[in-house]
Amino acid sequence: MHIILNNSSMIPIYEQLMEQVKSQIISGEIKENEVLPSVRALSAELKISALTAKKAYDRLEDEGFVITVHGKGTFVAATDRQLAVEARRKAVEDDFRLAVEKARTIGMTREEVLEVVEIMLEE
Amino acid sequence: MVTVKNLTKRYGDYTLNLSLELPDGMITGIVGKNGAGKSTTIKSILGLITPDEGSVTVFGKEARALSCADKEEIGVALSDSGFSMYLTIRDVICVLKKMYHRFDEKMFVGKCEELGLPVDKQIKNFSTGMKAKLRVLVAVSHRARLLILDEPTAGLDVEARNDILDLLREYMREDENRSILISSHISSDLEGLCDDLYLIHDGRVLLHEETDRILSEYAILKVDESEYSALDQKYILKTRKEPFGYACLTDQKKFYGENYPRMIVEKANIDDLILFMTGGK
Amino acid sequence: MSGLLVKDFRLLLQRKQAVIMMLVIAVFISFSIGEEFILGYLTFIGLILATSSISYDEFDNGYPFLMTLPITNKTYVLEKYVLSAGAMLFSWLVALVISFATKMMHGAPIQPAEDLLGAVLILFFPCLLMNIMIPIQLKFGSEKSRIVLLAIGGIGAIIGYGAAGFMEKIGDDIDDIIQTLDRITPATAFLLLTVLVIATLFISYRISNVIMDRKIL
Repeated sequence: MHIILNNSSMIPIYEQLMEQVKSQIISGEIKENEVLPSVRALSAELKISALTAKKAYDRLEDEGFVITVHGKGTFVAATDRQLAVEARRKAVEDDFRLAVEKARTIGMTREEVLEVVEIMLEE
Repeated sequence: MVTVKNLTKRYGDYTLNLSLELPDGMITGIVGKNGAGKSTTIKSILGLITPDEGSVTVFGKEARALSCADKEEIGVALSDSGFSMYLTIRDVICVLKKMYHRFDEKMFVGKCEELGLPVDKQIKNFSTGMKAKLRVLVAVSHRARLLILDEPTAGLDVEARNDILDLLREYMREDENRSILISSHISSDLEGLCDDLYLIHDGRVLLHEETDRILSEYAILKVDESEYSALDQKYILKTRKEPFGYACLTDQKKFYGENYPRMIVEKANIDDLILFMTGGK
Repeated sequence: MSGLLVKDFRLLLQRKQAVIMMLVIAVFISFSIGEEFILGYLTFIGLILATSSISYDEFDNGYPFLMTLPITNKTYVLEKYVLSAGAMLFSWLVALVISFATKMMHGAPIQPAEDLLGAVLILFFPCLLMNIMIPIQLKFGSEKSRIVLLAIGGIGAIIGYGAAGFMEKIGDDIDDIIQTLDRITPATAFLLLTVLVIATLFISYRISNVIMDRKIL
């Protein structure tokens, strides 16, 4: 498991941690049934509070990515990876939809919107 | 693991009066300026001083009445007191072996080597950093359930401080039920180590909050006069006058971020928190 | 307790040059001045070395940490008495060996029973001194306790002087008392001193414990 946290980011640490673990589960980098480091070990390694690490694990469990067995540790759950990928793609689509709607309200043309996206992709 | 209830201690004009709770498996930090009452609190928990009022219990027993077996379960490092400086580490090992049944000599010697602590030199010839490392090493050397550390990193350079924090992280990793109480006025050390923080000022607890919440939900809003008058004060903890208007400390970053999208919302760290809570209006 | 003893013993080893010097001086005195003197001298040195461990504990604000170790105030106090008694006994034995050796070298006759009794009688005085010194060291620390000891010595001398004068005045003959003292057999003296040492030890130990409990760390 490779985690890189950005302490000066406005995104809360637990959210960064959660997203990175999620990505690695979806990409298959962390395999099903694999044991994740204990909360204390993870917090020691990343130099973060144990409660932050616990919060990230709890959220991951809520979303069905991991299962915590008391006294045994936290395991990667048997997730439908296809479904997870879909879900993430859907979240991105939702963001795009919002942006497009906003663009329409200020009267941007189709070409202008596409141009903006092109520029962003090139960056 | 430790409960401090309404601890009161009077020294002339100065009165300490606070309560705190140290749960199992947690690293609790006491932050505050010099003279805020950190050392007095710690000495009360160690049973070195008797409170004028209130109670201090450790492992469910009165702190002053702990048995030797209980005391073996506590590892202690004090900022201004330790083994006689005329002893060498080799001497200290002999003493620790007799004092603590669960003293881990192999680990201790290994760590001395790793941290560059010479075993045959008198402690008085050690540098400040070496002395501090030795004190913390002694505290973690006998598999205690609870560590109590008074300013273990005060006056040290970054490297020595990191060595000490790593010793503590390793100690916590070995057993999830262990607890640490650590006082400091170097907040950056505490940010990366503690789970729970008490901010003490003038003998009182000004703030008790989880580190996670401080880092993720506390923020400083920077507003000018007109923005300030329109600001919903519901979640403002403290306000300070600034040349540009006002700086406000909040524990609900999200609320202000969402409702005032144009406002400057800065992440707050523990130093900001101390400055805000101990000064300002 | 054993941990504390190890600590004090190790501290003593840090001063081994000083200890060896004392021994050399003792041997020298024994040969030149007389072997009786070193029994008192060495035993006294042993006592001083042991009680000075209290100053080492106190030095550099050592007490707070010391008291967080798995020991109680009582164990700490007890250890100081055990250490002092042990140090005195040990140095007394060393002195005894040196004095016998000197006697043999000088070709003087050795009367084991008589010499030994005299040596044991000498041992009582450092014991009494220990009972005074430990509580004073604990209470006043190394610097002030020296002054306090001197003061006590001075007051003792004045009282003794005053008492002698008083007795002369009321007409009681000092010689009478001296004669009474002379009539005390060594066995009675031995018994009286034993009672005195044990009684003062008991009081001294109690006082030391109270001092330790009240100490502000």
